[in-house]
Amino acid sequence: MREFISSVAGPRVVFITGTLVTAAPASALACPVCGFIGTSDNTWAYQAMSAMLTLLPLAMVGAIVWWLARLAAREPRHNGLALRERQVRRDRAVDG
Amino acid sequence: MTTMNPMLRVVRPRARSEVVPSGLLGMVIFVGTEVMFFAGLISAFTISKAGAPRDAWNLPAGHVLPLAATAVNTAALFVSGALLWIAGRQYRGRSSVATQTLLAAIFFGALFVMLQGREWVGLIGRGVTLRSSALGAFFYVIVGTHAVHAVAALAGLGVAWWRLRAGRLSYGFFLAAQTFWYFVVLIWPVIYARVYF
Repeated sequence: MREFISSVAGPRVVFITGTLVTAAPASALACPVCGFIGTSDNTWAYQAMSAMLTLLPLAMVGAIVWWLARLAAREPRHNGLALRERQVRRDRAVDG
Repeated sequence: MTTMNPMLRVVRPRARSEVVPSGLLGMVIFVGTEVMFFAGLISAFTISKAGAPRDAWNLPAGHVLPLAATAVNTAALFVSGALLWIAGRQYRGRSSVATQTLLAAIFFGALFVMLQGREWVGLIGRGVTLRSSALGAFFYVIVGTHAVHAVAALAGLGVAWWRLRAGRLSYGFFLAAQTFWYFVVLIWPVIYARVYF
């Protein structure tokens, strides 16, 4: 049974869900205020604000991570490559 | 008599350096959450405004929000932000005038808050309250929340000025206070453009 689900039913569920979401986006739109007044402005505002509230936190987290990574790369003690290079140089000096 | 186990070695912790001051990192994360808070308010405002009938999105008795007076307040806020930036450069350069520049930045920031308060008194006097209309409710909530942030940021700058004067201001604290004020300055044009127009 489990094999049947994973081999046949699984791909079908994915296919049907994908078809519904791409072919019938109006049914998938969960906008509680769209159609209430019926103006196109309202739908646009809902979609734009949904996009903003989705992308803004991702962009901020990405920006903070990028900023910290850049600062860490500049700092020699946090830079793994620089640390390794210093270690190798020290070892060579001891051997020589 | 005890003998030392040769397998045991004293491991000294490696010296660690701070990539970014902890105060600044905490403030950056806090500002991120505040940005989302204002984004939520502006989102609710935008959707409500778009959904309201054209003639219903007004202040009572035909009053309008004071665009020109608020433009002057906005200019004062920008001057404050610019002065703080200059004060930061002077502080890093160990200049003695950084104290005066920081005080001037606080003065212009306080001027912004006072002018906003004067504007509010005028609006309340004309009958524009939280309950008078949907626009009035959004106006007081969004602009009021910004004002609370401005007052808190000014208090932080005041502490920074006091410590700078006493010669015990840490760079991390200054950067954190600076970051919070920049947030207050930069979020305002978004609020002004969205709520007042």
